[in-house]
Amino acid sequence: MSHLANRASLSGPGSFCRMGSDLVACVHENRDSRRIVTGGIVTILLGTMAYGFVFGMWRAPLQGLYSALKMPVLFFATVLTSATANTMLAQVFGAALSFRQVCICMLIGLAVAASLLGAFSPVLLFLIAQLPSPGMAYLEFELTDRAADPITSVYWWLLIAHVSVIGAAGIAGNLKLYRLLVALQIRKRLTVALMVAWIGVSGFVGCELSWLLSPFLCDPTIEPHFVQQGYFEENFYERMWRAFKACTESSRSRSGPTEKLNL
Amino acid sequence: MNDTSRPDGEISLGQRERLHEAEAARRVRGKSRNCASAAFADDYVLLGDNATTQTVVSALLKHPAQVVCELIQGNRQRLTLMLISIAMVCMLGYGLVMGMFSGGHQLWAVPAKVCLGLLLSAVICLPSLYIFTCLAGGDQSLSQVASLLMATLALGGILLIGFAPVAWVFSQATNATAFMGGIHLAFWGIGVLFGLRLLESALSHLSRCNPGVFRTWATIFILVVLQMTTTLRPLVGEYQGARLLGKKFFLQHWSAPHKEAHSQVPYLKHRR
Repeated sequence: MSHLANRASLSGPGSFCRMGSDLVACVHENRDSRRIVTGGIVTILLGTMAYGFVFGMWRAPLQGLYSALKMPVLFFATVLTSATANTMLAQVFGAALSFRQVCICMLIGLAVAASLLGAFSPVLLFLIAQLPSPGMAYLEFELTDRAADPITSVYWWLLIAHVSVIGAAGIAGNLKLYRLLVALQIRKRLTVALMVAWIGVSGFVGCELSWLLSPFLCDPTIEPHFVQQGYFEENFYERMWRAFKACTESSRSRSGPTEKLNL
Repeated sequence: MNDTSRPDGEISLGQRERLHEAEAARRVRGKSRNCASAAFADDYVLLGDNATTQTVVSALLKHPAQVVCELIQGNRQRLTLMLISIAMVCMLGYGLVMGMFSGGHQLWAVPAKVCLGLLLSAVICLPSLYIFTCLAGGDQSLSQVASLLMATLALGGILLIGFAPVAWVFSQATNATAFMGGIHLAFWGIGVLFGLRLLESALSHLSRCNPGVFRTWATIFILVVLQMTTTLRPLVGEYQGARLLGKKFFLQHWSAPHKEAHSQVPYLKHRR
């Protein structure tokens, strides 16, 4: 009975976050892989759908629904796209990890990230509900219009906040893999280097994939939509730079007219 | 202490003194932390099956580890229900005292808002507490973490009830809304501080959790509760209808509470 309970507890969000010795042993000895993978997939689905809904909810409930559908796709696509590169990196670093083991490790790391995102969804939903929402009142404006400033500044800040939260959760998820990688008989120094490399690859790939799957938040001057309308006009990094510039400008203009004149 | 701060010769006297003082303070802190965790471990025994509300209240104040032990190893469901009732009664009681500042509709509105607001904040923050506990290495289940959170709220509520007479005296002696808001915030801060300390001790004792992770969660919980007080405003001041007032961040509300009061005047007149 306790054995069954143990097996069941291998695949929940709690067990991924704990990274207990049972889970580590299972991955190390290639036991219960199917259960772990299924648990990881379910955890990622639930966590990212919850967070995706909160992501788009500020713009409109419909956008929340679109984002809830797209966020799990982003996570799974990140695993599939970067698994080959990460396996090669592992081998270059001297870790004898198979493609399958790398995929399981990445899935577990992203399951931890998804658990964190899902757990924070209620808090973020509550905080986002306190922000002024755009509704359909800004559809005739441009994103650069001064008249739309009060709502576009919220949009830029929120975009940066969401990207930071997802990035932090992704890093936390990958850092949690440390114990697992050490158990897979990789030297500690190499483990740190490998984790940094994996975070870099997954982060880089994930950022661009997020642009391809965008909009998650949807800017307030466009109606909620599922598929990106301007793929080649910008990319993820340009968009974030634009957001950063808009945020710094809005905080400067808030600090008073004298400073604005000095600029 | 006197020995360690004695001058030791020519080498930067002030600097050496400061170093000695810091070292001594660190030792004292370490000792007191060890003492606190040792006291918690000593008290970690079952409360007993026939525990009454009075016993639970007394144990929460004097030997909180007994309540934690009962929640983990004993009759969790019964005790959790008891803790929820204690927390709710205490919040309703303190809310009534808060409502007495303005009277009228606030006598029922404030207790309901305080009670429901705090429970809602706990529900909102429960998933993140569970995940943080797991990340820190704790092996508690979601229901165990929920029960511990209820113990935290109950202890905070009991302390608030202790402060209620003082708050009532002040509320009858002044008309200053900001001052009363500050008083309530200070009392709530004390209550929540002790409550969160209990939760931290419990989690550290049960699974040697990293306190840094817990403190991050505690900051988020405090933020959520503070925002909840702004969302459910006015808790101190005139009743302004059953609907929620406009969206505002709590710091923005605290920095300019009067702006809104003036903007609400026509609405109030209309209602009357």
